[in-house]
Amino acid sequence: MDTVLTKELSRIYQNGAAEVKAVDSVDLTIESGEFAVLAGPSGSGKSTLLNLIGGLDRPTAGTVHLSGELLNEKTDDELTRARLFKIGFIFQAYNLIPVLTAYENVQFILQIQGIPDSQHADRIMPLLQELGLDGLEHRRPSELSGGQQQRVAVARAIVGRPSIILADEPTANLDSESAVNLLNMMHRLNLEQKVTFLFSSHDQRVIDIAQRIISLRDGKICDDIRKN
Amino acid sequence: MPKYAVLIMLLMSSVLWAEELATASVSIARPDAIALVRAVETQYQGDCSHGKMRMLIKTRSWTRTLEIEMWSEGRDKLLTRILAPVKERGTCTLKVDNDIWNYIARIDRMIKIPSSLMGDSWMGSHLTNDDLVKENKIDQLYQLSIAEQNGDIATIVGIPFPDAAVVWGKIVYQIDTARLVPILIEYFDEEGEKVRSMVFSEVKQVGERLLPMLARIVPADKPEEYTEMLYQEIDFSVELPRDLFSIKSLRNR
Amino acid sequence: MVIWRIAWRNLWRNRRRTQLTMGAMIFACAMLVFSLGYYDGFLWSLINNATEKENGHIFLARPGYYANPVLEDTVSENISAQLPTAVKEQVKGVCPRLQAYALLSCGTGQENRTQPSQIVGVDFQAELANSKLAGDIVAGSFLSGQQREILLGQGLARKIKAELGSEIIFFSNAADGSIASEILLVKGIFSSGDNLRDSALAFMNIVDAQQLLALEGRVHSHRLFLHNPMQAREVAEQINDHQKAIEATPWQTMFPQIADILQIWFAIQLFTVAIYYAAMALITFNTMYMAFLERMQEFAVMQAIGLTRRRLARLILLESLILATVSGLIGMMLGASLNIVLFYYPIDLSRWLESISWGGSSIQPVLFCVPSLLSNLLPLLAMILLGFAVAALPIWRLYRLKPVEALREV
Repeated sequence: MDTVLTKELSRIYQNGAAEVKAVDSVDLTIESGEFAVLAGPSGSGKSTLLNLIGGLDRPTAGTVHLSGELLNEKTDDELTRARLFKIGFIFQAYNLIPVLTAYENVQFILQIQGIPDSQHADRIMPLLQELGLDGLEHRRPSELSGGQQQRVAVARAIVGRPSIILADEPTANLDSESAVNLLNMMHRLNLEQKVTFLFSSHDQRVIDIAQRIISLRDGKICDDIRKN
Repeated sequence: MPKYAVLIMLLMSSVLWAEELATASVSIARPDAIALVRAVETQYQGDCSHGKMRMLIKTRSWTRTLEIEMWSEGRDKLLTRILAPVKERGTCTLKVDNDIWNYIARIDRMIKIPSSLMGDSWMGSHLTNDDLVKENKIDQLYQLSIAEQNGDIATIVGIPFPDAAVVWGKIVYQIDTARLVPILIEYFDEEGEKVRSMVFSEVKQVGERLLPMLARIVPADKPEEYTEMLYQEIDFSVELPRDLFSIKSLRNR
Repeated sequence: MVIWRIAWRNLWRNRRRTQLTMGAMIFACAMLVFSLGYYDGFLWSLINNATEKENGHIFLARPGYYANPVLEDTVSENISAQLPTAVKEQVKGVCPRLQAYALLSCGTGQENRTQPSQIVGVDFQAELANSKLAGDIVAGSFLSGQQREILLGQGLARKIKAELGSEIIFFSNAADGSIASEILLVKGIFSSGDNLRDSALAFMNIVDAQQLLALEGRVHSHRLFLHNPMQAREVAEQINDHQKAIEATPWQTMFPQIADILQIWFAIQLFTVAIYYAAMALITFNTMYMAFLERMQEFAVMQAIGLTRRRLARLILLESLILATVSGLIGMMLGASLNIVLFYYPIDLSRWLESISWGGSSIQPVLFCVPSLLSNLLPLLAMILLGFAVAALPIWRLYRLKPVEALREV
């Protein structure tokens, strides 16, 4: 089944008197297990498209289906719920909750999902190990490097077992080594655990590692390449 | 008519009154009020009396009887002494001019009643200290007029002069002009409310005079209460010791 | 719950700001508790000054005696049997009194001076235990229960030229109409500050007075002192419902001016609370609101990863309430402690300030507080309300927040 399906998806901003078509009639399908990147220069509409898919923004026209559910009709709270259960977010600025430790940041998702406490450690600890974070679980974000924080963010995105991870420029704030390291880990998760990833990035390293490259320009898909 | 002298010297009131009237009527056939008073004023001085009376005091909560011996000289001097009950025997009141002294036998002490206490009860009765003191100036303090003459009964009204310092707002007398004895005196306050009344009865011949032997004072606001004064003896032909009306004599009696 | 954890830890993120905010809130709360305690203390003093020397908190006598005292209208000196049990528990002490009009006289011959006076027979032990009467003695000493003692008001003593040890002649009519007379000795001279009262008032032992006035075993009134004077009206009603042969008059009836004040007292307190908190709100609101605004992006992230607005609102409210409640509790404890100290150890300011007579009582220059449940809880409650108020605006902002916009502000 398609994880993401958009039809004629448009998002128009009103910038003074001028209309800006950030996303313009995009038809896009992402299937389960894909490791795809939305590529394109700044202002090409990657982030807006990602936000529309993630239910953080509402389209001006067209539809978004996520795991078969139409997001357009959902209320704000239903969208929040959909994000909680179906989507994992990774942000450029990591955006961990500063007052919680690494472990608690990950646990946060399980807690608000209502998963019983007894299951938390079993789900979180292997994930942190997998991401090379063992021994750091009691540190607060301010005590972690950028790469470590972003790996915690990855763990937080994955722990709730979403249908898709949306990662908006995840490597933009990282040094090269950390970025490669992070990408490798995400790729491994994709291969081993069949986690679906959709990036937005203009980072060549991301583009190199991606299986599918969807190029955007002026809000439209101008190219869609699958590597084999 | 005016017996206020009498009224005023309460204890002796009926006695003196009758005397005044008797003498006044001699010189004035159809007395007008003021002339009658004046006549009394001028001829009254110098008379002495000695008597005994029984005073019955009834109030809401108690009733008691005092036996009192008394002496008077003119209108300015008065001495009373309690004979009974025994507990109070020897207790005296001396009035000389405007001063009142009480001698309390039980503790052998004397106190002077200040002018501010003239409205107070005398020995628990319905008489006031003022009744003992305010005496000889009625015609100067009150405007007197005969309001009504009904057969032998004359009604005389006394209204205080505007600047007179008096206790009452109005005094009304009823006098039997034939026998020259008082019948009734009523006292009113400044609002015209009746405060108390004094009723005279049991008129008896004493020497040359006719005297009511019984006087009863009833406060208007407590009609169940009264003080009755009944003369048992009264004698106008007495010689009194010269120093009788003095502080020294109080203790010795 | 994780919301609690986040809220609690958030408070300590900017330690200094939180401390300053809390400090201000604690101070305001403590000051308010103290002010209300002081108001109550002021009121208590007013009531006590009015009641302790004269009529007590409740005046018990024959029906009608309070309005129109008559010598013969007496009640039994044994009052305890006539009070309902529930009332007895509220009564701290009872002072029986016998009251009569008499002439008091001093000196002999032409030097004799006589004054009409109010004579009050008192049980000196009961007065020492309950009333402040003994505190008014300016010369000599208070009654000691010996025979023929009398205390004179300063003005009265001056009028009749009496001194300590002087012989005073008591002259009056007893209840049976007989003449009541006695020689008394001046044991002490008192000054209550009310010159009119002192110029015509004397106290003597109630036993002497009963004998003199032929009222053995009888008294005119019992003055009840209560543990809580504010209960006087209710207690008086209980007595009146229970016992028709006596009439209980609470101080509220005797001193209507003070009772009137009491009626608006609660409003005054609320008003004070409102003023304090308006000022407090301005101070704390600003800091707390800034703290929330700084974290709008954080809230947006939480919303993005699945926290509903309702839960976010709860988080904000929780933070605000924790701050307010903790501050309120600490402030309350500080203020209440101050009140308790000043309750047991009032500070006398009479060296700098004079007392004022008012409404049948007097206002003494004393820093005195009465701790009460209301004066403690009202500020805490107001503080908690402030917590809600401060959280309201960020929450309102939150509901209008579009996560995508807040996120873009990174």
